[in-house]
This record gives sequence, C-alpha cells and structure tokens, in this order.
Amino acid sequence: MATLSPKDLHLSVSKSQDTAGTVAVEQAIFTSARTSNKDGYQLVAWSPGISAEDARLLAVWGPAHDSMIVSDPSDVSLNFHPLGQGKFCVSRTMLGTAEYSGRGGRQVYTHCFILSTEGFTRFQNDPFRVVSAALAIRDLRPGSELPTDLPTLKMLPSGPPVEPAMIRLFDAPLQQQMLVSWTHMALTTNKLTFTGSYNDRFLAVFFNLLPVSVRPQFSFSTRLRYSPRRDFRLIGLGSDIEEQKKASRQEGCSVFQFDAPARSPEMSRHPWATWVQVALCHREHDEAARMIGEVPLSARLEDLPSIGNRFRVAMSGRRMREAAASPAPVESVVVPETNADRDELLTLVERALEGDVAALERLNSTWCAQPDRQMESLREECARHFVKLAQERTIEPGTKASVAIEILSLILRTSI
Amino acid sequence: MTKRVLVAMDSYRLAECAVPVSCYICGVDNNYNTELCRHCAAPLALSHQARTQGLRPQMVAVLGTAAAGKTVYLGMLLDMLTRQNGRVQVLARGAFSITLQQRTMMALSNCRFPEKTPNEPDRWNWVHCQAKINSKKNPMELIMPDMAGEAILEEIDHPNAYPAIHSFLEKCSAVILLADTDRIERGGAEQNYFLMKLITYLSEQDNRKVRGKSTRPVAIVYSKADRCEPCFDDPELYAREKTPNLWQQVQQRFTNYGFFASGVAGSVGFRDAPGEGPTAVPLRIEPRGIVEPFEWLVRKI
Repeated sequence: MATLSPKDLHLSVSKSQDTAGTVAVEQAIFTSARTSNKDGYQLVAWSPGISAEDARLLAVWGPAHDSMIVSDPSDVSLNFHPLGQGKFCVSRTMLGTAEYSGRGGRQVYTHCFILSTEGFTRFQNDPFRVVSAALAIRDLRPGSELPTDLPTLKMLPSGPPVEPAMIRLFDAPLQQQMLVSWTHMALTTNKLTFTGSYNDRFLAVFFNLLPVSVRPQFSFSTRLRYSPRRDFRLIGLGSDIEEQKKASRQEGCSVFQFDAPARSPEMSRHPWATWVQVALCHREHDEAARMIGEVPLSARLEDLPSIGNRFRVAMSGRRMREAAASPAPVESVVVPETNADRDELLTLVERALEGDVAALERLNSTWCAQPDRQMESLREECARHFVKLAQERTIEPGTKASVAIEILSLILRTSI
Repeated sequence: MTKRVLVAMDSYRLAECAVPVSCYICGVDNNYNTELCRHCAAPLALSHQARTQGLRPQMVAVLGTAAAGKTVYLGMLLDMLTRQNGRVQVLARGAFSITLQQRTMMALSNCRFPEKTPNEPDRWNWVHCQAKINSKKNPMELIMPDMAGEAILEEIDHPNAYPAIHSFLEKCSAVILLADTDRIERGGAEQNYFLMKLITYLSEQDNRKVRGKSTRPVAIVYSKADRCEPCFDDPELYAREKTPNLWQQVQQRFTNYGFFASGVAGSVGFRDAPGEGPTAVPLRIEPRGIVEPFEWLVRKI
C-alpha cells in the first residue's frame, strides 16, 4: 500500500501546476491518532488553506470510531457536504490501521477535499468528479505512517456538465424505474435514507441527471452510521437493519429501499422525475444531457418542477413531429380501428406477461408511434387488463414474469 | 329507531403531542415523540423521566482524555453500586441506564476493554439513577453521561462545538476528573495540560455567576493506578509530585476538591493480532478505589 506523504504530494503538485485550468483544492485528514496536540480523533494533517473555522467544522462532520457500517477494510464511504459559507467538502472514508490506544477496532480514516464555490463549479458541482480527480493524483488509502502536513492540490476538472455515457448505464427498465422513483423521493424529501444493495454509480448518475446549479444541495453519505450531528440530505445505510431502524425513528426521515423501491403514483410524481422517465424510456441520452446542460446556473431547486414540465413537453413534441415526418413501420404497430384490434392489444398484454419479447416490443412501438386520444383510451383499457391479470397471478421476484411486469408498467404507465 | 350511544372522542389524545418537550440538558423544545434532542442529541427519555418524578436530577460529569478510562470507571462504578454494598445504593432509572454497565461488564468478562466511545453524542450512553447514601435521609436523582474524550477537548477548545457537553458542564453539580496514571508514569505531559484546561474552563463557568473560588465539588481521580502503587497510598502527594501544575490550579480555583486513585484491571497484557496491532487485554479484574470518589462527591452535592 502506498504511503501518503507530503513529499510525494508536492511532486504531483509541481506536475499539475504546469497544466492550465487547474483548480486549487485544500485537503485534510481526520482520523484517530496520538499527536502532540491531543489523543483520539482529530485533524492530523491539513493543507495551508484550511482555516481554523474549516478545521472546527471538519471535526464536527468527521466520522469517528465505529462510524462505518461495514467492517471490510477495503470498503469505502463517500461523503459530500457544505463546509460553512461558500465551501464544500468531498471526503472519502475507510478503515485504517489498529486504533492507537489498544482498545481494539480499526481507526476510521477520512481524507477530505475542500473546494470553494467557484472551484466546485469548475467540477460541474459534481462530487464524484472531485473524487475521480483526486484518485488520479494519489492513492488515498491510509499508509503505515500518517502525514503531518499536506500541500494544496491542483486538480484538473474535465468533461461537460452532463455525461450522456453515464445516463446510458441505466438502460434496463428495472434500473430506469428505480432511478425515476429515487429522483422523485430525493427531490420531494428533506432527508432520505437509502438501504439495500446500492452502489456509488447510482448516486453518480443521479447527480448527472440534475442541473448543475442544484447539485450542491444534495449532501450525501454512503455506508456511514446515521448521526443527527452530520446533517446529510441523502444517507446510505446499506443493509444494516439496526441502523435503518435507528434512522427511521428520527424526525423527518424518509426511506428508499433499493431492493424493493416503492413506485410513486404518476399523478403525484415530481415533474423532474417524470421528465427523467420520459428521457430514459425514449433513450434520448444525448438530447437529455444537452437539455440538462443548458439549464442556467441561476436555476434553483424550486424551479425544477416547471423546468421538468417544459423539458417533457419539448421532448414529447419533438418526437411527435419526428413521428409525423417519418411514418412508423406499419407491420409492428397495431392500428386500432375495430374491436378486433382492441382484442389484439389485450392479447398482446397477455403474451407480454408470459414473457413474450415480441409482444412487449409491439406494445411499446404502438404507444410510442401513435400518441392520440383514441390510443390513450386504449392504453387505459390495456392498463386495467394488465393490472387485473398481474394481480391474479402469483409472481416470484426475479423471474421473467416479474421483469415483464416492470416493463409493462413503464409502457402502459401504470403501477400495481 | 336510533339508539343514543356515547362515542369516545379520541382527538384529545393529539393534544399531548402538541405540547413540546424541553430537553433536560440544553432546554431546547422538541416534538413529543422524538427520541433524541434535535439540538444536543441527548436522549429525551431524561426529560420524560424528570417530568414524572418530583425530584429534579442533579448532573455529575465524568471527564478525561480519550482512553483515560471513563467508560470502564463508570461501568464498574455502576455495577458495584447496583449491588448491595452498604454505603451507597444506586437504582437505575430507565432501561437505557443499564446499557453502559452491561457493555463494560460484558467486555471485561470476555478479557477485553470496552470499545472506544464514539464521538457522536447520539451514541453516548447516559445513566439516570437514584443514589441513596446511608447518612442522608433523602435519595438523590443523578444523571451521568459517558462522553468521548475528544469531544470534551473539542468543546473546551471550541465552545459550543458540542452543545450537549456545553450545556451539561454549565449545569452539572459535581465533576469527576480522570487522569491517566499510566501516561503520567510514562512521562507524558498531556494529562497535566488537559486537566488544567478543564479546571480553568469549569472554574470560569462558575465565576460568571459568583466571583471567587468555585464551590462545585471536583474529584480528581488517578485512573489505572494499579500501574503505580504509590499513587494508592497518598493520591494528593502523588498529584503534588507528578502533576504539580494541576495541583496548584485546583488549590487556587476550587474549595471542594479531593484526590483519589482507582484501578479496575489488576494487570494488563497486550495481544498482537495480525493487521490490528497491539490490543490491551485485562488479565484479571481487581477494582480498587472506584466507589470512594463517587461517595465523597455525592456527600458534597
């Protein structure tokens, strides 16, 4: 394991200082150690730009003994929160060496990166880009010896405000449904704990799908025990049942279960989440990225419903115009004119529920290509038929039928 | 025909929830059914219990650096006092008050010391108990938290960093200061400086109210004294010789003070587990001088 020493970091700084467009990032290490100042959890090393107030706040937010939910030394917790006025802290926590006092357990080692508002904006207000840039410079794991001082880092931000490739990662209907539900919950609650088997990539995609100006409002922690002292907005608790119970007892905490996400009713869904659903279902990744990237930096969280509605209408309108200009392939689409066609659609629903991919595709193309009132009433009829059939059957989670239900829920825009 | 019936109006039950509950430690109002204070994270069970009892609980602070032995001392003290020992009898109030005692004794019985107390106030163990002394007619209600050493020092260096500690130290009636004898014997000066800081902080809190020396009782306890036998013989002499600055400060700032020596582990060994470094192992449990400082303090309150 590489040891983090100030000397090594100086070398990397001198390299990056030659590169134009770098951002000055302060750093600090918060962990348990016996130093000349005091024993126990403290800031053991920090760069020159860390003020006394920053140090005090870092000690308040810093995770101390037994704060990590996991006990695997290789597991990592990522955290992001504001640090007083005009500063942000992105930190990476993991278990280090043995606790210095011989009382058992490992030290909890946190490497913090502190950016000014301007510096953070250069990273598109995305904490994951800061972590990536930091990891590109150094190995952030604790070494056998703790450094005593650290230099100010020069990091190079890169990439557009929104990465279409990140959105493309969530292509499966189940993932899309989860992302839509998550976006709705995250935007409509003040404090959201999330449980189950999630990974950091999910949070990275969520940040990517937010306008740059509102990203700083979503402070988060992953794999840290819940503590009211650390006022995160999104709190990842893994699968620890005790921590979940503890968090749910606190005031104003909502829960999102990754293993069984609750669907939000379409009518009450946050408009931004609805727009995300439209963008994901239509696989308009580049267009979605362009639209999010064009949201002005003055946009606030309160403005997201109206912006979301506008985007949804714009995207649907464009698709309708394109559909009118180029006729859809007639063979795969059911054009409902008679009762026989209606019956055919209901049969398609039944076949789709059996896991028939061709039926799913035909149903999907039917409503994508024919957005008119007659089709809307047929969609509702098919949705009712689908709900009735789904409720009659006993469907095991993880089977082909359960996946079909998820996809049909998206196509028919309904929930069971 | 309609029979006349009496229907209970359950809405009155909501009236109870509309009344805020003040935190017993910091005084901030909280929702009725909240578990921890939204300001200082102290358990609101303390407030509920204080409200149902006629007697207002007194607060006793147990302070010391990280790894000075606060958890072990408090856990062992409670375990000893909850047995019939003749001089002081303690009765725990609320199931949460037994957790500290339980964790400490379970750890010691498994030949290990309890894990480090986390820095987060919501994870501290609070003890609410009733203490009865033979010579006193009425029993006393006491609240004693087991706080993390780093948090105490952080609060002293940056007041209001930990609202729970700030409010608690302002209101507490008596203080037990633990000095780590092992580290003093090894020549470290940090115990001396830490305790001097604490003494200054506490006396200045009192001087805001009344000028002159503080009357708040303070027991300076040399913990882990089994590592230095002369400390047991005359703790005050030990204080004068080994921590002269502290001894001087206490003399000048407090009127009610006492020096004590205590030890829980009669002997300590070290186990070197691969990847985890040396871990201290209590080889035998031999509590000495645990009850005396507490008994002295309770008589002074």
